[in-house]
Amino acid sequence: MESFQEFLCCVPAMALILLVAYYPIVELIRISFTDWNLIRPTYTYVGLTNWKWLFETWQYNHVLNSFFATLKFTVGHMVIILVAGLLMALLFNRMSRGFSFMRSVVFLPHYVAMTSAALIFMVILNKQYGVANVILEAVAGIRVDWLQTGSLAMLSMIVIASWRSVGYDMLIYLGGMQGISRDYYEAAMLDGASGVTLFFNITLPLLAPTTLFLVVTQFISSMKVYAVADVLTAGGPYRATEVMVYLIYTMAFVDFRVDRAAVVSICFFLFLLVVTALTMNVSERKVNYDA
Amino acid sequence: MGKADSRLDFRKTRRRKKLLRLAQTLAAILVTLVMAFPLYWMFITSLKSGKELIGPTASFFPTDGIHWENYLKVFEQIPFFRYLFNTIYLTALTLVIQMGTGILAAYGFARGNFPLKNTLFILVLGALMIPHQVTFVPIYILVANLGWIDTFAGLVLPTSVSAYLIFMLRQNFMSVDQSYLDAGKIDGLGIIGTLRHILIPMCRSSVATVAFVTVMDGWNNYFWPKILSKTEQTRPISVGLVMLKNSFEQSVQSQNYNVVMAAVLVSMIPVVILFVLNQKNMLTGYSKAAMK
Amino acid sequence: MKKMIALLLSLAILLCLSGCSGGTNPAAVPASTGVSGEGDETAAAASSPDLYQITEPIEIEFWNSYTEEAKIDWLHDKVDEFNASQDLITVSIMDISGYPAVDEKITAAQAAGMGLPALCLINCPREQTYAANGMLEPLDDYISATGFEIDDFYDGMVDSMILDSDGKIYGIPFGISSSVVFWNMDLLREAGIEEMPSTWDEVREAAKIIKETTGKTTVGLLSELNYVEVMMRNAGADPLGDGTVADMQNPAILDFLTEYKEMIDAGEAQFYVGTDQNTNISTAFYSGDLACMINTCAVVNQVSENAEFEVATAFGIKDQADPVISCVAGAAAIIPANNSQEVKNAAFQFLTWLTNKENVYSWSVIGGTYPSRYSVLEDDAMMSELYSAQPLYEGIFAGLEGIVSKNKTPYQTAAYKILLDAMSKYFFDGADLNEVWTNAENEINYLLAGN
Repeated sequence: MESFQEFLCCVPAMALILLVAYYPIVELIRISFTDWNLIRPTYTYVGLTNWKWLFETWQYNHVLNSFFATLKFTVGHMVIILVAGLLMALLFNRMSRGFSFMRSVVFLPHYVAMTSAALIFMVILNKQYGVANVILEAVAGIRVDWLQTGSLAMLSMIVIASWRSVGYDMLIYLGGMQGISRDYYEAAMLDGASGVTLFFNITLPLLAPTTLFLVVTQFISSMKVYAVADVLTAGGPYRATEVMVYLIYTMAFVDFRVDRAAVVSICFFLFLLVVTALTMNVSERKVNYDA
Repeated sequence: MGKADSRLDFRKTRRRKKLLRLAQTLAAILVTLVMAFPLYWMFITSLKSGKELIGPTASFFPTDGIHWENYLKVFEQIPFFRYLFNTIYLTALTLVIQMGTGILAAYGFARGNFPLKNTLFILVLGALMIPHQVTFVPIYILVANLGWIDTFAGLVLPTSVSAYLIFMLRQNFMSVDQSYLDAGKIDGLGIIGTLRHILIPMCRSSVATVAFVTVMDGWNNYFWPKILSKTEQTRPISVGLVMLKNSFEQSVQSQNYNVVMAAVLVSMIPVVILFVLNQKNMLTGYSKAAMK
Repeated sequence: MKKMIALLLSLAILLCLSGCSGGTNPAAVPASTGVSGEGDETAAAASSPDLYQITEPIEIEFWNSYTEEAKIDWLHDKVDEFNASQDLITVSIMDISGYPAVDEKITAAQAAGMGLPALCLINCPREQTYAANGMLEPLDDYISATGFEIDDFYDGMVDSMILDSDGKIYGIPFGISSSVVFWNMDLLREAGIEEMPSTWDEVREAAKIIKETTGKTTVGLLSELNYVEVMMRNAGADPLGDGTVADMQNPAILDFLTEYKEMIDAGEAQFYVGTDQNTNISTAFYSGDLACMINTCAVVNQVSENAEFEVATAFGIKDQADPVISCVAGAAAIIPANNSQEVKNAAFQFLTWLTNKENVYSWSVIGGTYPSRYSVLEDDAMMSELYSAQPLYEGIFAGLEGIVSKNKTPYQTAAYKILLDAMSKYFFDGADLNEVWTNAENEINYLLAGN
């Protein structure tokens, strides 16, 4: 074979990819047709029982609740980091050393592990002793339970995740902004355009590819949230922050119902695939100015 | 509009510009402070005494004395050195295996010409769309059946290959002009030689970026160790920290968040060091990604 | 197009390959015979002591789930003592911190079919779940063959280890604790109350007075299975009924809930939820903001250390149930079924030694748990020593006759998750009691039916 050596180079990686990415998908499908309880020694094939369970007991099985919780988190998270990221990119768009330093400070949370960030914020958001409530009381005269009120718990999750990721979006936007040719701005300024107009009519549209890149990647990665839900709220209060991955984890390792966990995993996977496919489609059509 | 007026306008706009620049600087400083605040709070909390923690006020500076001994307590409460060792070992192992398989495969796909090459590469890309949050249940069962639960082999297996890495490096390898490689062949370089002396040095910044990302992800990895490591033999810091916090809960002692924060800070130091060292590389790497 | 076909083809091949394995867990071991109540023939044959003897040197692993240093040290010392006292069995002890970690590790080992310990300490609620799923070795035959003094152990505690479906014992009570009541006597006196309230009505009255005079909250309840089950059963009914059909609409329970909500709204009581609940309730109690903490007796040593006021204890708050009951919680010692017979024999022998009278006594001194043997409680010398080491035990042990098993449904943990969520919604979210409670009941019934 031509290029046999190069083929060999690919073999280890391909083998691992087949084992670690594709084999599990096939296994999931197979397990979804069994009644496997992780701590029982044997299992049997039961056909579509688990799929029936998914649709028939939609009121009790919390899958829908989990899906919407994940969606809420994703949308909230994305809106914040896209808007804040862009604003910060505009704000920090200066070449001085001071600004460079400030940018790296803003980006630093990206390197803090999600679990560490969750632990730090648990101290800040503690109802009785946390500084968040101290400040809130000084400003608005009330104290709230950040982690035990459904909507606030979700908000806290979003804040923590945003604190970590906004620096990344800021850098990407900065990169994107540097890629916009000065010609556009000069031409517009000759026509008498001012700052705000320049922003909305040139910067923003030309950042569309960057924005799309961020939307696609951040949407998928936000949907996969787990660590912060596990450490901060353990899926509570009353499942308000029980995101999809947390639900699958609980079903598999706490309730030991691997068969149902497989069903939910498959649904989750299909959803992610569909979203990726859709966004890819949209990006092909809508975003190319220079091409 | 006479000459005098236009000069006035000019001075006005210059003043306005100066004010705007000042406002921008102030706003930037404010935003930076807000973003840095949680880290500052972590540091301050780690120095507070237990009594002050449960007191009614949360002050911006320790009022009950500065307790550096909280850091010592970290090492007493959990086998921190063991966790540190585990984290370093795991990260290093993951780095070596991911980079090893990834660089080879990137080379193979970039410069090779074998049948089914494109199909196989599509499979690699497809793997990008299969997140571990979907595959973890069967992988757990697989690792359990191999008897690899709570071993380093088991912990490395799920992250032993990175489709992202292969994709990125393949791009870079493809951009290197063929003439360099031909020159290398004349000098008698095999694949490993070509990689070592030509491709990697020429794509140094991407390789460094990708290696850096691998190290960061490996260091902060929480998901896999949570599922696959059961005892302190293989548990890394990320899981260890959470267990530290939970261990106070379960043994129902009064919470010692100060010790937890101290542990968090200590676990972050290597990360910060790497970050400082790699700052330049990091930023160029990321902005390249945006300009597709 | 070609690419798509190639892709589909490779996936199809993968599917065929993995579908070829049979219908059993490849690492599975045939289900242990002890679970299905097989006839008396096996029982009679198995009672012969020889089958349970150890004849050759053997090494076994013992998993301990405690996190407190004192307890871990005690166990390590005992293991060393046992190893030194005889030459055949060598026990190696592994410390795994916390019940959830032990649960994860033991289920991982079970799923893999390897790596199970010989003896393990697990959280009592889990014992029923594991037994029902065939993970544990029934101990009846071992007990009768070796003369284990099972009758010396508290009835209620032993009962909680019995699987009702086959009547066999699947664990030995090791470090049993349960929900008890701690009172801040200084705060009570500040409010003008001289004696510790002992009935629920007295508590409600005291709560009003305390709120008026000192502004502090009185009752602190944790959002956890152990404590809520005790409160409701004392109020008159078990929300999970007989374990197959829930009894949540029982008026005793509904009354209790409405009363408690009134108290919460009036600032007289609190329901602690969330991952921080244990921390929050203890800090509230130690800082003098909470008059009555309902917590596990296992914290009794920490309470005496941290409380800077006089503390009084009681086994429970008397309501409708007589005597006051509290449900078995804490640690049970279990022997996994999927091990060789020699390993199980050795484990049982070690277990017998570990739970002899001396050890049971010395364990309660440091553990804050109940002595599980009658003989210890009837030994005056031991008891007076115990009370002088920890005076708070007196109030607790006074009610020990009321120790009963929790509800034995294997789905208790899962069912209470639903129940506690519903309670939180009602208490804090302003939800309508009937609505959340009926929804919860439907879901729980669905669960209890084995789905």
